[in-house]
Amino acid sequence: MKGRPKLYTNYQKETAILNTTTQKVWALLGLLLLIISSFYLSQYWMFLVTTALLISIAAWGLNIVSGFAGQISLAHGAFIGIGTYVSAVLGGVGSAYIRGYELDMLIWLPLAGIVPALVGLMVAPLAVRLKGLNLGLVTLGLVYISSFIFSNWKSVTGGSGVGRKTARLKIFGIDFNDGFYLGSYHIEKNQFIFFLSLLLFILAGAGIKNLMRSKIGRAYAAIRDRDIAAEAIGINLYRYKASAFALSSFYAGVSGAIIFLMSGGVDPSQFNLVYSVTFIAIVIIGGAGTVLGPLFGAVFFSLIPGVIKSLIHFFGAYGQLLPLHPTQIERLIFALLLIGFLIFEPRGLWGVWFRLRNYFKAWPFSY
Amino acid sequence: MTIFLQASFEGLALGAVYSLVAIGFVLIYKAMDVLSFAQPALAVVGAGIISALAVDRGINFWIAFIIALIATGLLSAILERTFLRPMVGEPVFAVAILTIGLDIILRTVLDDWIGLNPRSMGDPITTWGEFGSLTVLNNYGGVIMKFQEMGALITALVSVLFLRYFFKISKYGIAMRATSFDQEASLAQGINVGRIFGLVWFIAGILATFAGFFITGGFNLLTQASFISALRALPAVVIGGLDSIPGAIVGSLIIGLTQGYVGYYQFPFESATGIILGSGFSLLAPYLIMFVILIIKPDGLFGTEEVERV
Amino acid sequence: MRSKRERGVIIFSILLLVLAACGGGATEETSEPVEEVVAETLDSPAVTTASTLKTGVGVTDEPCPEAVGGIPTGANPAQGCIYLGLLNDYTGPYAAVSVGLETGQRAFWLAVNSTGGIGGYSVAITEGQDTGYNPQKHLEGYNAIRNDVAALAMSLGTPQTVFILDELDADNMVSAPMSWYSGWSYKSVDRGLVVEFGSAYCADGMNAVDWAVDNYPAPIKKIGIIAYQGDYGGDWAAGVKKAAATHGMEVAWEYIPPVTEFDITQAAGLLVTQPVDAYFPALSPSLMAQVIGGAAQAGVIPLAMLAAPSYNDAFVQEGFPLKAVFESGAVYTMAFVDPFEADTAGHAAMRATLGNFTDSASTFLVAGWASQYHLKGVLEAAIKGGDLTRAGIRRAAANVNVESEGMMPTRELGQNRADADSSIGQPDGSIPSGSRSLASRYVGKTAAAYDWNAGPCS
Repeated sequence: MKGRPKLYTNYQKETAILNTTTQKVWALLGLLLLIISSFYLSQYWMFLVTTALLISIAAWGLNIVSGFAGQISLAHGAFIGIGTYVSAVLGGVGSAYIRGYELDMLIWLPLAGIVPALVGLMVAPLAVRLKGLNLGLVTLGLVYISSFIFSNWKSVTGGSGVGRKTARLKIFGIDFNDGFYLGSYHIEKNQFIFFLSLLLFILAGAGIKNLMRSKIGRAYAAIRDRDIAAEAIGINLYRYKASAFALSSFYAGVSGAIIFLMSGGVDPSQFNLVYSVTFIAIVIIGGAGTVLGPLFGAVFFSLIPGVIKSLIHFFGAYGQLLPLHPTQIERLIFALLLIGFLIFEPRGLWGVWFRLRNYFKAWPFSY
Repeated sequence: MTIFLQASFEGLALGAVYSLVAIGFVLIYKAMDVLSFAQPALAVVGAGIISALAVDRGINFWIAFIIALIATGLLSAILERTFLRPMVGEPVFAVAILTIGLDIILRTVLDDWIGLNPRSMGDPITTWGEFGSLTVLNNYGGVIMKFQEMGALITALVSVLFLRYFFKISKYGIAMRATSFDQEASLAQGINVGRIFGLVWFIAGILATFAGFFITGGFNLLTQASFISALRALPAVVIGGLDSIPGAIVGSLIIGLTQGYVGYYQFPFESATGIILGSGFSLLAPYLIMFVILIIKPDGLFGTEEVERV
Repeated sequence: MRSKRERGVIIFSILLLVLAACGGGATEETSEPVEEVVAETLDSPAVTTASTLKTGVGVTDEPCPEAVGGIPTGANPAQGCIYLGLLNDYTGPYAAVSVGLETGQRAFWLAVNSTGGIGGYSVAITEGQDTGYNPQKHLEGYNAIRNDVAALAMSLGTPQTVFILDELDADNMVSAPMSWYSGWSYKSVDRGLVVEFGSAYCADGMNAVDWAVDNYPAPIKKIGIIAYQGDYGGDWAAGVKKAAATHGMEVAWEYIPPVTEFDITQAAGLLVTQPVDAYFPALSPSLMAQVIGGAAQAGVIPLAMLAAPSYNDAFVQEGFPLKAVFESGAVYTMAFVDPFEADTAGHAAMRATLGNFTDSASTFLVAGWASQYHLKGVLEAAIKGGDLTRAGIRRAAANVNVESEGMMPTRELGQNRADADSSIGQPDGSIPSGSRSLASRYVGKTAAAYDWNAGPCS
């Protein structure tokens, strides 16, 4: 019925992925905006937007395991790294020192998700035995172990401080590395990567929404709230915790495969503890346990460096007077925001948006 | 034989330093159920204050040291009051992330002050000071015992004994034990739990300063990467059990010794067997041990099993 | 709780609005200049006399900014500007020396601009990009500036520069390195893109061993090597090992981990438990201090021949606890160029210009200054050939002799042959530059006998 968006007339409509007209309209508008802007924005901003899309995918992954299923995972960065290196080895150029098989993207992209998922499955037995902080600390140990393996497995990663190049873009045998021609219009490599990321982003988002409304999603919510009670009502803890880790690692791997394609190279020291904590912060700042939350967090996080740089330029000469380097200011603001959100708004940006939305929904009767 | 003794001594000394950090972790966890990732940062803060006063301003080392102890303790208590008090009752994970945020803030400001050149701590006692060592057991080939390491061992021992006495006899010590056992009951008994929290963080700050001093003293200068050495105490806490002080000590010794033995024996091992463990293995070994122990005993060697009720 | 939430929300909304306003108004990156789409080959001769000057990316008719990075450019407002990029390490292991390097380079171009610039243009180095000595950030930094500059004034780090070589190749971007990998002299490695200067690590390694054998009183039979993994440490180690082989020395151990995994306890432990007569470290200054200190604390101070980037003159300043150790007579340093006080025309010009900015006499200022001579020579050759596009600059770099006012020997670029002479010094706090020059343009017997046409050492 018009004007009554929350009135659902059948179950299918209630659980649809985009269940109100407003949602449908906004989603469509957003999509169109992104596509059109990709032709007009500069390289720098395209890079930021694409990064935001890919980080959202990884953040959604972390959200599955930490936000939905309530398992603390500090090892997300390591899974992203595994995805990156699977894609780099399978799709990248090989040399005397570094392995690379130059396979098609159709091969390395799925595998870049599957291999980390398998590794995630291996973590599951530990997850079932441990709870809370102990689980977090074990995943911390995982981060160090994976860092060690990355730095020392030189034929795959090049070694710390040396690095290696990422996969080449080859789909169905067509090489896209220098961009391609759509009729007479030249689409550059980075723009192509943008469209690819957008596609993956939409698929990932639909996947998450779908997960949330399904039996698995409900099981996760139960486990997060009280896992002993969940077990008591018949939810197979081991199976669902394992699937949570596997799914989250799949998302991480896919994101990792594409995220370094734009810069073209990656160094193994990149996948350290700080990287994992960054994703946790993104999920927290964005809003854990929701679908839009990690999206907000990812967008916020990707745009922050650009915004800070603009701010410093805006203040011009005063910028030189600042006692701290821009990178340090960025880190400081990031940490302050993290703490601020934890104390004031545990539901993150999504919580802020939720309140704003409710305020305007009830307007002029809001109080 | 000498290598074994040398490695053991250095491992013990490392373990002593780690135990100072680890006990801080455990104290806070016992009292507040919070794992504070800010301890390494506080250690560096303490070391930084010592360096700023003793070396940059030329104040007598001991006075600088005591000022640093008190200042870091106060800073620690203030952090608890400002940032952690509002988080009472929030899930453990959220508070742990908050402490990571605190750690980042402290370190960013500190890194800016430390700058790019390493800083020195100054020398407490010039004759047996930070920069010298004693060679003993010459019949066995001579084991070099740095005065700094001996100092670390003595300090750790004294601190543990003092804390034991403190918890057994002192009023506040008993109050702390009560609070860590059951907060509500303590409140009912009239204990000012908030003040106890502040006191716990204060003590943790002091222990962190001791640790920071030994980590960066002598020729291990204070650099932007010094906090990493303190962070290595984390596996110790997990191995020993998050809520057990003796566990923290045992865990730290295990880790320290592991690091020492791997550091000294890795090369001979690799040349003898041909298996390459990879560089950086001595920094990874503690985590492997942590894994193994967690699989066997999920709550750590001495930790109390968490009984969960629905 | 209510009021706290509201307060927090209000503060946050204001913050958001401010950020959104400023973020949305962020200035777009300057529109990318159109690349010269001229069919170019790299085989044409470098030096022709042409009447008009073709220019490309990074060369503008507007004058250079008055100052960049806090240092005036001395640009002539009536001249156009050639922009050079800068990839520096402000936050990583070489952060302590990054400022010195940059100051030296900017001061060089200030002096050049003050005397008329080159070919009717002033030259300015753009804002430095922070790479943190990390290949990935190096690549990102390069991507940020690749469309704005004609060449790179500095690309710090060997593995980092190698990492971006494909991109440099695609852009025809010539670069002055800030590392002395022997590969920079060979087209097979650098594709003619890197305008090297100073002695290579490999030659330094050989000369270090030869000089130590000739000049150190005690015999040297067993040696050890501590180095960063990668071409820097690898090249140095290769040179040391070659020279050790000619002298029949035994290499007792090598500790060559990646820079991020360096364990000081292990390195110092090796020095203590497996003593050697001499060791040859190739590290960064901060780690060098800790390794020497760690061993010294245990009473072990063997002969150390430091690779050039491992030494920082701050080590012999008053108040540094290791000053006595560094000046003990057991430590020697290689240097890529003669130290600050050396007596050459180039050094004198440098002292005159730098004296206006800083009292420091650090070797890194010298390195920065000296690094630009050869690049200047290449740019001048490109101008003479009438082609200041990037392809033209690259062509010029393929075959030109460059001078450095006596600071370094004349070098023939593009000859596929590395130079083999080193400068050797001893730490000395009484000298402003922190090191007393013991040998200049020294070529040891291994380096003299080595076939430098064969290719890089490692």
